[in-house]
Amino acid sequence: MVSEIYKKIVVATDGSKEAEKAIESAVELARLAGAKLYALYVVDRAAFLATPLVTMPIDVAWGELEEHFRHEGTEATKKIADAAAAVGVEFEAKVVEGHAAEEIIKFSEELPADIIVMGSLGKSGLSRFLLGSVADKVTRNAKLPVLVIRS
Amino acid sequence: MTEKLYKKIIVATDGSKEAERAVKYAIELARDTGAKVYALYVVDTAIPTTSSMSVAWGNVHEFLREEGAEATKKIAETGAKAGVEVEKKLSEGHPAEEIIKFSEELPADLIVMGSIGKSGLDRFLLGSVSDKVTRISKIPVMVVRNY
Repeated sequence: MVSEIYKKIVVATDGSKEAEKAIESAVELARLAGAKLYALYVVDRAAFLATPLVTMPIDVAWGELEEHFRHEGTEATKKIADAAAAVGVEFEAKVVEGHAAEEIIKFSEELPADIIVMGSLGKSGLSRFLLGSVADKVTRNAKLPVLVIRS
Repeated sequence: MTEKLYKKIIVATDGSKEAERAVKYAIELARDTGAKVYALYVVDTAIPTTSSMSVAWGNVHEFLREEGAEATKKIAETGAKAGVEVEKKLSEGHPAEEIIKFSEELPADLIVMGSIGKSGLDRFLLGSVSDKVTRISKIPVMVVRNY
């Protein structure tokens, strides 16, 4: 079936296990709706530096961390690409840098997408991404529908 | 995926024009996924806060029930046009609590709701209701803003 509304679906991931349910649902929705799926990973430096765990010495090593996050983003979106390919869903991946909520909204509105799908929890241990509050921000500020899926 | 993505979708309405966009998205999502829609309107019993107002509660209550009947009937009609099964449901209490309660009782797979209530009357504040539901709900919540 080709959906009358859902033609472009954005799924935001932070590479965490908590995002997996949202990804699974987004892939299935794209399949049912005949939509194209866009996976977005945001390298969020500010969110990382704002966590209590992180102090100045780590800031010095940001170059390496950025590399780490970019790699994680590539890995995370690659996994979604595989899941989409397995069910014949058209797919595109994007890794950007900036504030997570802002970048998710910017990317989705520029497409423009018809819906944003995202998890509500970030990596619990490291706590650097806080997808929970990101989901809150996106829900409040995005002009398009936001589907939040808890883990 | 062998199991259906969504079997039961709740769309919560406050009867406002702002909720209509959420209804549109919910019905289409149900059509795409083959789900049944439950149109829920909550008569907000928290509205009359002062004693002078509670005197008139009988009238307000009646008005809200009628509004709920109208709003859910409209959703059923929209569903019928799209070939989507819709069940109407009216309940009473605090909107966020009732939405969560109903979703757990069904149990539903998804809650769809608008984010802005009636601006003039301002009595429902769907914005804050959707915030609460998003935070409390264990099942997925889809918020559809009106612009």
